[in-house]
Amino acid sequence: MNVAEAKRMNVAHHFDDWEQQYESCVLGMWVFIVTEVMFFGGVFAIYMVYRVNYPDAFAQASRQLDETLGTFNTFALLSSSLTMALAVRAAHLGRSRQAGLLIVLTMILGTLFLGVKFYEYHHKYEQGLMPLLGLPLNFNGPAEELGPTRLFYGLYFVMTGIHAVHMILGIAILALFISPALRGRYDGGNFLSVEIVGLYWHFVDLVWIFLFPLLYLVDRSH
Amino acid sequence: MTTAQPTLRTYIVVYLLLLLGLAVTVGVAFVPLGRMNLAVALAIAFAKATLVVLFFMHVLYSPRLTWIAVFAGLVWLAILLSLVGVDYATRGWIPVAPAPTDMREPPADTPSGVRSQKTLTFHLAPIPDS
Repeated sequence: MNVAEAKRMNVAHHFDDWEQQYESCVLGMWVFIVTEVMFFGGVFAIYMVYRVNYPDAFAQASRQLDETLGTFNTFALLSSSLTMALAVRAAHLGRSRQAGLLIVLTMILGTLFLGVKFYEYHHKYEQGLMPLLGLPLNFNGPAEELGPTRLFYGLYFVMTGIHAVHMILGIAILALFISPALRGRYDGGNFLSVEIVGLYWHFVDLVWIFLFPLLYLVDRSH
Repeated sequence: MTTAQPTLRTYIVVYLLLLLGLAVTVGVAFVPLGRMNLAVALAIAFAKATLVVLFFMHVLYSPRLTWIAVFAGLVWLAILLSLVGVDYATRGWIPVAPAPTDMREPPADTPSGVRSQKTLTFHLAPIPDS
């Protein structure tokens, strides 16, 4: 089956041709991503307001986060974005098996990220720096910074938490692609679905690119 | 060409630039630059995001309609953040009527963040003392 034939056989009846279907689906995915940008944008707006109002408490609380683990996680996520991009490229070139293996690699890197994240959460819990749901806050700074410090940790856990939920969903969706890819589903160059899931994965990476400096590196200079 | 793709070399170069951006972000964070620290961190984050969007997400190779969707997202995000910022930045400019007694700020000797039970009447569980 040549590429043109494979593509023709994978066009839904309400599209004229594969190219139109491709552009429509990519546009649809981008519209979804824009709604996700607005979803995260709301939390970033909250962060912005409180960071401007309480810079010292935010700087102090941010120094309690482990910047080495944060850097490593950023590295893992950027790498997973590369392997995802290469998986899309492999599917584009009709190398279905290679795409499958790169998707597995992407999932491994994503799971590594979540594992480190879980370790960080657990460590924060043990340190008494998880003031959520009535848990105590281990704090001995000036009294007027207690509230803002609690706010910072609240924002930290909510922002990284909803990001982690997106990661878990991304890994689950990627898992659906392994079997078809290894069985040669994308050999014909019908890479549309891989492209779409790739867009989602890169978006999750994008969010982390902003979360990392804003949460871990508020003020490390003294 | 709607389905054009960057070359393998492009992907690798973009990835290395992203790692360079990460290294610079972490490095600069430890240099005291005052307010410029945040500006530099955000500038690098935007540069990294642009690389991801243009190359990994193929927007550079996409039709103009996709560009419109991407820019619409940026514009709405800018509206959200700027108007929220303007709201909070200008709240002290004009006098406002005092809040109802049960919604007032706690007295000055109460540590902020630990509001007494009297001022917060609507929460379900008591706020734990830390």
